[in-house]
Amino acid sequence: MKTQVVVIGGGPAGMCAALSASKTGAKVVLVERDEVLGGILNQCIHNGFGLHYFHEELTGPEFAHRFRIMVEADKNIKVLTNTLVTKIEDKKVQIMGKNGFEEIEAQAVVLAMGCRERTAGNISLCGTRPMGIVTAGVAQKMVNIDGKMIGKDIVILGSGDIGLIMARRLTLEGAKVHAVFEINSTSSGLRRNIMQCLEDFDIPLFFNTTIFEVVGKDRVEGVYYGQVDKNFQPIESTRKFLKCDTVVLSVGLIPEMYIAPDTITCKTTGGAIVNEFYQTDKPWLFCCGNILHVHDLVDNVALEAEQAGKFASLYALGKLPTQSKSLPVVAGEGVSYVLPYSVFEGQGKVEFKLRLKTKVVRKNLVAKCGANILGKKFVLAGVPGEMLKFEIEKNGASDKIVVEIE
Amino acid sequence: MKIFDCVVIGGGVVGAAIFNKIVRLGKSCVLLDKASDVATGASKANSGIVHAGYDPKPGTLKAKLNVRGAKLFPQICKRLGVKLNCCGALVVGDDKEKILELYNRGLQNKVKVEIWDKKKLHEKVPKLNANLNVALWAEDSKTVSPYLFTIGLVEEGMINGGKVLLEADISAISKDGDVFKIETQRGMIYSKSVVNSAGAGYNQIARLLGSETKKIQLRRGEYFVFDKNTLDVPCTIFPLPTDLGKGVLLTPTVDGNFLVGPTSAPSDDVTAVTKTGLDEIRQKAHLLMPDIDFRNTIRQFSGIRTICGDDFVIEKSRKVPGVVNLAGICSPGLSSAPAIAEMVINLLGYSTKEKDNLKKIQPYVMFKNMSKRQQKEILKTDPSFGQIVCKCEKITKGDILAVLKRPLKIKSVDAIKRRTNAGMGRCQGGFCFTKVVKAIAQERKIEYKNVLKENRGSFVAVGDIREEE
Amino acid sequence: MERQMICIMCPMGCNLTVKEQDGQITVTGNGCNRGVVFAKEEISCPKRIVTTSVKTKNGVKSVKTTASIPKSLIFDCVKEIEKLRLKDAKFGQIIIKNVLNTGADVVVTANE
Repeated sequence: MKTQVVVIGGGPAGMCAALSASKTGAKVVLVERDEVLGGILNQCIHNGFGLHYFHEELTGPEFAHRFRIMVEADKNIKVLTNTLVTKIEDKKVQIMGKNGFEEIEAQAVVLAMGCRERTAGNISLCGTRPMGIVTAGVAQKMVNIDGKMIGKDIVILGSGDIGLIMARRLTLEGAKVHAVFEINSTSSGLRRNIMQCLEDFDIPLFFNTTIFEVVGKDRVEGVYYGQVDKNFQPIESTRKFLKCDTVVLSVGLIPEMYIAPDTITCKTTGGAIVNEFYQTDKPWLFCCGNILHVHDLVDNVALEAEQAGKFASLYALGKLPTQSKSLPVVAGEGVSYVLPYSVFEGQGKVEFKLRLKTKVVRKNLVAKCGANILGKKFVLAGVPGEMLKFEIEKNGASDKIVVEIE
Repeated sequence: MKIFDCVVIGGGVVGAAIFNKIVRLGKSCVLLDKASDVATGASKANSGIVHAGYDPKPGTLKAKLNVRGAKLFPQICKRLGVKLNCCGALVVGDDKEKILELYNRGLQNKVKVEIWDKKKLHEKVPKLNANLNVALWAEDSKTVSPYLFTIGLVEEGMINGGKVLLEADISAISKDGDVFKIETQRGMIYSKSVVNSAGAGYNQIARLLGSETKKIQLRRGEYFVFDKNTLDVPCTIFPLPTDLGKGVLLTPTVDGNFLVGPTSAPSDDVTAVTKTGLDEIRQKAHLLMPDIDFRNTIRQFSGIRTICGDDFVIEKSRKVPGVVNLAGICSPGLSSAPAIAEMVINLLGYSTKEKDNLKKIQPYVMFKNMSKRQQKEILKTDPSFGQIVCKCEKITKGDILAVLKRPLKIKSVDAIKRRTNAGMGRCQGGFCFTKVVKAIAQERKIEYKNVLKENRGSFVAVGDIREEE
Repeated sequence: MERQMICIMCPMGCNLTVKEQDGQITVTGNGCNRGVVFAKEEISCPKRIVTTSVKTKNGVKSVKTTASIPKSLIFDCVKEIEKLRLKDAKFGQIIIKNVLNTGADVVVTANE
């Protein structure tokens, strides 16, 4: 099979990248491992999607549906569902699907596979491994797609968004959510989710607290939990027992970069290092969405993917403009990462996407090139759990750009 | 009333090897296990190493059976279609005397061993700690999937007439003349002899039999599992052994993952991982290889070893004629299993001649490992081989359904995982868990919520949403 | 009276400060006008959109209320949906009109 752009992953990022690549003029193959397009959105049945992109409040399946009908109507996009990408080697994409193993030759490849969830193994959760330890995403799939109840007495480890959403969902289904434990001193989820998923239902959230040990042979029977010190080590004197039958893990996401293991990645995000065009160190390989960095808004994923899809398409068509000097963009004081990791010298605006290291109240975010201030943004209240956007004029920058909290 | 020649209690690797051997002799045999699958105890949670046999004290059963067992392994694995990774093993240290001692033991046990100097050692394992300057090389050391090996032995026994009862808890055993009457949850079994290979449950069965109970110590071994391509470990690497065992080792598995462990701590029969245990592994593993990045671990597990004195206990019961006792089969139990089986049939007084026309077992071959032609053929008749279930290990729905159609009727997600690797990869079932559950429900014609994770009581869901009251 | 709250109208989650003085309500910290509407409602009659699933012949389908309903009615609304056993449910189909007289309908949001 031959095409111009292969987009891998049929979630919001992949669908938007494919639509945009097609609109820019390329023939596109969109590869999705599951039976239907939509990705994780299909199981996110809660509302809160689309306000920025569609100016309308939608649920996950509705948001996905809007793009799916556009993709299906687009004659330049060939969709392969139930198809897994097993290898990418120099613009050749090996797939495994209804015809067994096949190969697609392309001019550009867009990675849009999102993240996988961190598991009990990734966090070295102590205790036994009975039924009842599930990641929030699996819990969500079982409840919302399969219609199965995962447990009756729930404890949630980690305050990631899907964990918070599942706290509410399971409560509405009649389960008792006893507590959410967060090992850090701030939540990794959105503040609105703490309010409408926990506070609305009187579910307690304990900071600096974690599960010491899971107990149970065939089924979870309870957890020992307690506080941790500054180095996240358990403080044994605070150890308590809580009876429960289910532990839901919402302890972070890992970009699915294993498919392109030799790509240069960022230590903080785990995603690829990309330039303004969402291009990795391999010029034909582009990335967007959660595989690049974890977004808190799918609307932002859509916008980012449209950009990446456009540039991938232009590259495939040989129309991506050759660029001037590349200026590195660096995360400075108080900032954990900034995207893109480099910009091209020249005129015009560039939008940075970044996350803060700690909570920030009433401070300025600045972008500097040496002593030259390229832009400033007032941050009323910023937390690490929420992504910030920051647009600057790059005129005048001729060297490394540092983005930091003043 | 059918009277079997022999009942083997305990479907671990040792019980499976004995069951397999007895069936191959043309005797009638039943294998009983209380779990929902075979190999769910120590046999699923160990290092998976077929030791060459340089380590056990010469003259012991451990030495004799290990060396003999390791010799039998390749031909049995070939017969069963079970993969062996002939990676070899190194014992590394900074004390030449101790390595020499092991070397001499190896020679006494008639095992191929070599002493390597620092240069040769670091050429083979460049990431090794620089202060390790001498090693023992045992080229015949191998790794195997201990559960696939066990399953293979059991299934080969089944297609040749052996009977397996799972979830068969035993409530009573009595003896009427020369015939044992064994009451199980799956019905009454009559048999002329009984082999107690119940592992950690040895004493419980011994009490029911009225045979000798033993002083058994349980020790827990904890491990880390590493993702593929995340360690530069070309062969099994041991530290110098101590009184507590072979120590924290690094080893490649047959699937391309790596195990780091085990610890050895007194324990009850609970397979938990502990902070102390995991911290100990981290610290000891770093002594072997300083730059191991434990963020690449995808799982931890622990297994229970049973220890009964310094050597294996394999004997005819003096109290109850017709009973064979096996106790304290710890390391090198996996390596010795085929030789233990030979010894047990001898104790049972069977001749060693195998029956003619033994049936050959169909090995487990996943779609991804089939030839291009086989793949094309199978897709023509069965499109489920074109449906992805596990993305990390590239397992299809067809692979899962094929496993469910095999002689041993398993019904748990973990049983599928052991046979196909689905759910064993880096996402640990995040993508495939519900797909595997659905495949099991479909093939076994049971409800989704009644599918098990492993044993009875581990139902994957507690109910349906909007269940009828 | 002064109250701090997080606006839940969109994932931006603005930090709102609501002041009530002599019957006059002022809202600050909002990024857009929806924040003012939310804050005023949150101190008088807090409302939420409800999302859950409805039972169909072949399993479950996701549903939502087309508008936010009083917070105190969330569980009652879920109960109304729980009562239903549908043969099939199509994307966009209204399964309960004007649920609990809130003015909101319950519609199917799943599309496969």
